[in-house]
Amino acid sequence: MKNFKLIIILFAAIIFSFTCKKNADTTPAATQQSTTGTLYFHLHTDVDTNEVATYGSVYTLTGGRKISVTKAQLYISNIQLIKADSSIYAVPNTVLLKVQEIEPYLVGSVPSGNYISVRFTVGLDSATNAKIPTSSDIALNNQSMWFGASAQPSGFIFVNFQGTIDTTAAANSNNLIPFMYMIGTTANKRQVTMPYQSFTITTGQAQYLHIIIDYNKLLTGINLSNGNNLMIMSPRANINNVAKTISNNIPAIFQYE
Amino acid sequence: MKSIFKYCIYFILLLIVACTNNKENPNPAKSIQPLPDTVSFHKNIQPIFTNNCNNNGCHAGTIPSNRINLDSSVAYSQLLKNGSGYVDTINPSNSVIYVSIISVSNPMPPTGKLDDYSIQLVLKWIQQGAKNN
Repeated sequence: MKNFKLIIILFAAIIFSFTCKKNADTTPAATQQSTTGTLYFHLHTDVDTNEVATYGSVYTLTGGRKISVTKAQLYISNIQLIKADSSIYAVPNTVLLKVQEIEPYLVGSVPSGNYISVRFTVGLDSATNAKIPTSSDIALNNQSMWFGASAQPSGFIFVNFQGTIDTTAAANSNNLIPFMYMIGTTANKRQVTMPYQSFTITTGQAQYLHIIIDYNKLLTGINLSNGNNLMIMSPRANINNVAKTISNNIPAIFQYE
Repeated sequence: MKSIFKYCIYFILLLIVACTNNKENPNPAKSIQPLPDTVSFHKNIQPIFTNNCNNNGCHAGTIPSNRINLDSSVAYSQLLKNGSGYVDTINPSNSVIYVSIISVSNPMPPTGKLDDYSIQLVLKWIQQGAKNN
């Protein structure tokens, strides 16, 4: 009888220890998880302190000048994330076409970790700018960003800002005059480095960077009273000083929300 | 014969205890209160916003923080604004509102992360189509 007791107890102990062991390692997948998260930009279209909710609405700028926007689009490419140790992660093959109607944009899958800033190009690199887009190039295959009926040979419009604006020096007129700024060509692409703002990419999670694009800042330094300064519609026109002034204003139009 | 039966009972009890101990929930917070089968925006979600997001005037008024007004009169239309991405019923966990409340570096509300139950309610509401119910 004693032997039987001993056998039962030993058997029970073995079963007990096995059931515990099995359950202790139920999470082996955790070590095999990827170490990336997903980064998005959340981009707002503004003129001064007004969010452009709909094309064609008239907004009043600080100082009283009125403006309406009928097109506000730009390309963002060559996105780079900067870590605290100044090392850089370049997001491969990302070209975003920011349009007024859409705010979230997938930047890509990026390594988990802490970052302190982001930089990107407004415009396209030379090779992409020479590309003939196919229907699968969703960002590039958009006629509103071509100088003509086709993307080539003139390349792409990097920033397309159109509308009507009060051009009086006193900024007190309701008579709004059309303007059309189609900024392109390799000479006019600009790199933008956003100010320090730490953010964390967590494995398996999405993260948004909220950025405002204030198109009104493109007009800084432009004499609107001069009718010759209101239209840039071709690559040829992109060599003039107005185009250069607008291009140089590009980095200032981005700010964190 | 009686003692054999007694030891069998002990043995079975021991097995039950061993198995029960291993059913420990790794995330006990979620099991405190079961989520409703259908999450209601007005009954379940809006109170979260009212208590945590627009009560200090942050996501409220004419100039709400981050341009999202979560006052009960406008919250739903603001969240479902076309093209905003605040709510993404196709990829619920990528919704701006959900990502904001689980963010590690900039969680909303900034005064302290929402409890797991509230976070799961928001996610389930989006997964169920973000209805104005």
